[in-house]
Amino acid sequence: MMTSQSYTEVPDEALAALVAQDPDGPEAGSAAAELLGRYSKITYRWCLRMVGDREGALDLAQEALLNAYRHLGSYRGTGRFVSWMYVITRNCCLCALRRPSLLRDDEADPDERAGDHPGPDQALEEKDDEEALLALIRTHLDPREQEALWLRCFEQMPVDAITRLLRIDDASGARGLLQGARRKLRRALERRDAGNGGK
Amino acid sequence: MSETCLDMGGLDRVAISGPTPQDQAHLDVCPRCRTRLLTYREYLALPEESEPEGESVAMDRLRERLKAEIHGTPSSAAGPGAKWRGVSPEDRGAAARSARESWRDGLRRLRGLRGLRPAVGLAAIALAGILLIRERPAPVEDHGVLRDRPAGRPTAEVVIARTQSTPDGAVALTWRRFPGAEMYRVVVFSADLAEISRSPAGTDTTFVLDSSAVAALAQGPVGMFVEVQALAQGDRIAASRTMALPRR
Ligand SMILES: [Zn+2]
Repeated sequence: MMTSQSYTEVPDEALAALVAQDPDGPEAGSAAAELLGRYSKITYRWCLRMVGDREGALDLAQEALLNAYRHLGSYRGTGRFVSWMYVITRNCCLCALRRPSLLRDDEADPDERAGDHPGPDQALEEKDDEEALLALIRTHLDPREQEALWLRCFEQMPVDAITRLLRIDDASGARGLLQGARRKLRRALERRDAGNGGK
Repeated sequence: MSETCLDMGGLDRVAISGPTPQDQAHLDVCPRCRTRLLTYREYLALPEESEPEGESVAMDRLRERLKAEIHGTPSSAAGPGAKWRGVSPEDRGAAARSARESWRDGLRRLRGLRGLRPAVGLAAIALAGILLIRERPAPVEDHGVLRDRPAGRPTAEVVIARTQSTPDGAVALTWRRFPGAEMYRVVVFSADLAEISRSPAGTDTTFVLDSSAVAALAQGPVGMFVEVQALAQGDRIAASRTMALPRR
């Protein structure tokens, strides 16, 4: 049997395999603790980036790590463990965060449209057809706007994190880019609907 | 475009070795893959970044809680205010059993459960031939992935699905893509939660149950229930709430 001391040299993938092979075995607990301990920092940092506050990040990180622990048996070893952990962490954050609107600015009051007839933009968003939205974005936005809007709406990344990630030097940061992108999309939809006779 | 979207293994390969000309051609036109690559690279670079304020305290608490979860020991460093939302496998099992039993008890209060059995057999035969999944190009998905139901949240939030009857008596099921899922299947249960039939796994997010299947399933006095299951590498990673099949 390996001691917990000896796990420090064992690659992630081998530790995961050790747990997956015999989850109730004598080594599983120590191997899992070592493995998930290695990912505590990166998981916490990612969650902090996504939610912005330390307590929220801590809760979310523990949720992600616990999810990983529960499902170590489903790690197939076909890819690097770090990529598997990333997917779990990312998914955990996506679950916890509200998805921003594709077309309404982040500052807009989400209830401001209440009582309106659902417009074509709302109908489009409610359909939640990622392929259609992707086609729309590609047609009407330049690459930089595409990235900012996709990061905001589908990766659910906070605006300041997008500013950093895309290295936007502009004073308004990603906010300005997102506003411009959403304006373009709204106009494109209006034009399309006018062309369809309002249908 | 989605046919050539990079899966998680592809993203990892590009992150390590850089894109091939073919990858690059796709990245140039696909904001989804570009942003996923950007965010994944950002994630990989996190350990190199300077330590955020308060991280060491957070790490102590996190590791303590993790250790407590794995080894089943009380966590002192987690502190009285700590919210370790996980539960032990035993507790999880008990909770699941309790939920299942209360659901069954509720159903048993509906009369005539025994009379369902013949309909179940008939329905299974009818369904086996009728379930249809329309194939579309697979969306970008991740490998070996899960987004499990976070503790304390209802399954309903995991895969959001709804059923709708059509005028011709068919029932259409639609659901949202679930991050990490490679395929979906629809499973039909009898009122006592016995699985009757399941559709072949497919990538589409809609499913049409033909009117004759619906008619066969609806013969029982209690009705049938359907659930959409999200799959990764053949394993169920999430599911919708179990919904009653609309009866005519
Ligand atoms: Zn792509």
